[in-house]
Amino acid sequence: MKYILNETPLKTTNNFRINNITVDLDIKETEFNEYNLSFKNDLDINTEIKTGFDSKIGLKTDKYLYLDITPKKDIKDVLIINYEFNNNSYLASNININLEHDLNTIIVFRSKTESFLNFKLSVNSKENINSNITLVNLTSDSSTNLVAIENSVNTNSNIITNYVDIKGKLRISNYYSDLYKEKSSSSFNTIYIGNNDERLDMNYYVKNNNKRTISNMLFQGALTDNSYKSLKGTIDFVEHVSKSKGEENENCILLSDTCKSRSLPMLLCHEEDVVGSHGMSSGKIDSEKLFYLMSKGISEEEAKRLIIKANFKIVLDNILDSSIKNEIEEIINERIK
Amino acid sequence: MLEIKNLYTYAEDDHGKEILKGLNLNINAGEVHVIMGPNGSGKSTLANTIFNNPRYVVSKGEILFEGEKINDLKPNEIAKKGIFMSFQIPEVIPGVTVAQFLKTAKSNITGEKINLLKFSNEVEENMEKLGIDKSYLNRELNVGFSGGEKKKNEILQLLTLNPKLAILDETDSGLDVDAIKIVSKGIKLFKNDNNAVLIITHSTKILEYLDVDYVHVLVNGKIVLSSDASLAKTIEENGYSSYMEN
Amino acid sequence: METNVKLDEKLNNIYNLKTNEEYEKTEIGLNKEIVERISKEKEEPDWVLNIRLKALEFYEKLDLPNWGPDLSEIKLDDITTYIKPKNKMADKWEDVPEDIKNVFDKLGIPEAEKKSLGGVGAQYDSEMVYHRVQDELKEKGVIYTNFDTAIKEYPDLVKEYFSKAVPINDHKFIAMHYALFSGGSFVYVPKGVVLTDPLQSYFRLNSPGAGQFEHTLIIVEEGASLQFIEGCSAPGYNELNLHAGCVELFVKDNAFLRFSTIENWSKNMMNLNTKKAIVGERGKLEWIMGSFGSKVSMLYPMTILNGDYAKCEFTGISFAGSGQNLDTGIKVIHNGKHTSTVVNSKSISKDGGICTFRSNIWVKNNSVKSKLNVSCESLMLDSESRSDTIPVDLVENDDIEYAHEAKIGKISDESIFYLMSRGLSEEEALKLIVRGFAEPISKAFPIEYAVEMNRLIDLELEGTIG
Repeated sequence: MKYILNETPLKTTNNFRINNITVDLDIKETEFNEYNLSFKNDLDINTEIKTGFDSKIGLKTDKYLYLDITPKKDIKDVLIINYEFNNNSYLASNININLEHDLNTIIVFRSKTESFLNFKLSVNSKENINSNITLVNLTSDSSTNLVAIENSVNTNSNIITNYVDIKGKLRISNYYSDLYKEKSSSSFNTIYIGNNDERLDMNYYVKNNNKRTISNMLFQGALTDNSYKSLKGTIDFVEHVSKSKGEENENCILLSDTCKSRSLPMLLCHEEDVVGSHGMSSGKIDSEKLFYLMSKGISEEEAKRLIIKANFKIVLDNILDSSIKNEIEEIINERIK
Repeated sequence: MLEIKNLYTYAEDDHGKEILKGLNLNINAGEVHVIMGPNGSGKSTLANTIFNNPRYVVSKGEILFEGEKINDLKPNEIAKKGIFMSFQIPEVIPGVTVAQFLKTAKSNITGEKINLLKFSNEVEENMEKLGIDKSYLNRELNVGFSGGEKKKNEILQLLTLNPKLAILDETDSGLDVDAIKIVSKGIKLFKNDNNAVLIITHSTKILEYLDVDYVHVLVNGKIVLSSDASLAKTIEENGYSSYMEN
Repeated sequence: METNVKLDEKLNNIYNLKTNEEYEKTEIGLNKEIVERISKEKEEPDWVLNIRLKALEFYEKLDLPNWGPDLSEIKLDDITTYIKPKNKMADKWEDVPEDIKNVFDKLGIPEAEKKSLGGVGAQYDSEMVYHRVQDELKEKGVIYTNFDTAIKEYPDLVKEYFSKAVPINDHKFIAMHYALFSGGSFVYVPKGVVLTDPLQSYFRLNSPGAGQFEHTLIIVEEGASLQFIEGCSAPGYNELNLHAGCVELFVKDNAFLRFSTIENWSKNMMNLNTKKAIVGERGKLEWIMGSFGSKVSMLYPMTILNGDYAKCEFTGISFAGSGQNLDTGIKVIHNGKHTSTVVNSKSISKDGGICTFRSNIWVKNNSVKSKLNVSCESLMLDSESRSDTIPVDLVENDDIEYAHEAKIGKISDESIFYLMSRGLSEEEALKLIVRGFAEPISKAFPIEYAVEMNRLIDLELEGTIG
């Protein structure tokens, strides 16, 4: 069946078909016995099966697995949540995190064969919260991943969200951050790699919704082969949000002459006293940097990896578990050729 | 060791306008050579061409290293053969640490897995000799480095990678005494009977700190005169103008 | 200090000239009969009428855009679609009817012609009323006339290029344009001819509730060079006016064209204009655009860089005040090697005005070694206003350099404070800073226009403080 997903917050010209993505999906019911859910550094986590799944991506489904996480004190260790698919499974799931205290989380998805993920992370913070949340997609090359992230950020709180989007044949992601109280801030960092015929559609939106709010978005990516990515990033300064700041940066390295990169960095502004900016650059890897590294004996492939991993550093440094970080680096090495 | 025969080169984005116009040069093991020349004579082009920088295209002639033609090799393959080049303006590469870079370069050149302990001892020893603080290793490559720090970093790479031939592009640093001291110290530490050095420079200053075997004058893409170190003295007194008519 | 002079009163003096003329014949609405009557009135050949009728079919089929500013206010059935001129086109100002000439006199057009222009065209409502080009240029084979005349006198040239850049079914308002087009300029610069003085066409829409649908077609042959200036204005009425003009530009190999527009339509104007250029090998097109007027503008000049080493430069500024929604930007297609685009866009919003920068840039797979640099800056003068930046980029080629940046911000209080501490009033300080912000754009205009632009900025800012 055809679905129209990932609608931009504000429609623009239809020429480049950037306003949404039309995809043909075969949606099955979630079979809850076909995947494993495991936790490291366990917390009091409620899981239940609910009905009526809906995320800003736009795909509604029926049954889904619901996890509720509410830390009762500041947690030092990183909470790791592993989703592991078995064969051919379809999974709809929503994690809801109520940040009454600081919490750092890594959520990892793994599958070995074709899998379909429809996932939503909802985060609500109280005042004075600092959290670092990372989502890592280590599903198979033939997987389809729909990942929606939503957060609403309270006074004086800062939520950093990292999304490692490096595998899967079709990847649709959506981020919505509502900075609804004064001095709230959020950072969203994505690293992505596209190989083969992989298709990525990203629709990220931050609303500076109160005074002295700060939004940051950073996208670092590399495309090879025939991969095709479409990135829509929006910063929205609504009315009465004086002294707010918003910044969006994108850098896309193109490693083949058949890959395609489409971007729409939107900057919407309805307030005088703000500072907003976006910067975008795309093109091949800097040839002078490449020459410098190669002249010191480093192979072209290795030099490209070094430069791309350096671009990815900000996200990699945010991954607070070294074994997951190593796993990611190895996949990057494999995928940058 | 290095043999350049009748080399013609032009810049990739300026087709047809040759910069090197029939350059010949021979360097043997154990020798220190200096190429001097006025601005625009093709000094930097020469170093970049030896390393096959894609910005420059060889239209004629060949470059041999230990008897093997290297014109068409990639820069890393040339490095692997045992040639090193220090950059006048080293690239700033954020996100890559000096340690990570040295390790990757060394293992790529030797083709062997690095014995980390042995390697870091070696690097630290070299750093001590050059008066570089250990904290450098964790800094990002050339990010926020001062001119002197960049220069030291290039020389540290020279000592660490230990090539057969070192090409030092000192085109603009001729008047910076600190830079010259670092370079000459590095060369003294590096130099032995089995390797060779080629210094490319604009001024004669560096020769006050080093013993060199040959001085070549590069004018308008060609070497117009080769002699011993005394030639530098003549140039210092008279400049390049007397060679320019050629 | 003139702080108490109302903006409208000021503007009245120059742009708001109304005439009490009776129109001999006007058409309201858009249907087959009207289209046929217009064509007959103009004694057009069949091929032109056929294009009009085909366009009408598209017009009926096409929907209003589902993005951008709200256009529902336009009552398409009530727009005056054609106004028959009282006189034939003149080539001497003396022959232009007194009341119309009076309007252009006040706008300073005949004066400018004497001083610094190679040729002038003037359109009043639906038709050109004046067209003249220096004899010297005529001798070199330069053609500069109104579009209707061009159809009659240069049918082969017109046929070869007309509607070849902008297709008749591009969008609803271009279909409307092709059904109703009237007036506009035709320029032909032969191979190798370099014009040192610019040509200027001035478009004036004086009738309330009317539409203007002029078609401008410019061909700059190989190695030739032209600067063309377009000025637009209208007096303010309560009824909505509609401008759905079309500009088609053909810049051949090694040719140069600078196309400058200073647009100051009245604030009851719906300005839905379409402009497109096709640039050949090593050709260069410069767009210079100042948008001050209109209630709603939707205007995105498009450039197709078809030849290797073709270049496009866009320099533009929009200033949206109360009740204005200026949705402008650019479209570029890179379709050749070593092609380049430089965009420098600025906007100022104030008193609830909305400025939107919208772009579509497509770097095709074959356009290796292309370079693009897009920069947008927006200045917000208060928080009732809006400023949106909506750029879409599609890159299909790895061997390019593309940098894009956008900034939104306010005037820093420190800058105002600094200037005031040096003795300037707050309003003077504000004007100075805004003019400085606009300076890189205004200096791209010929000097008379730069002065004009600064005057418009000053007018807009008058009475802002206090």
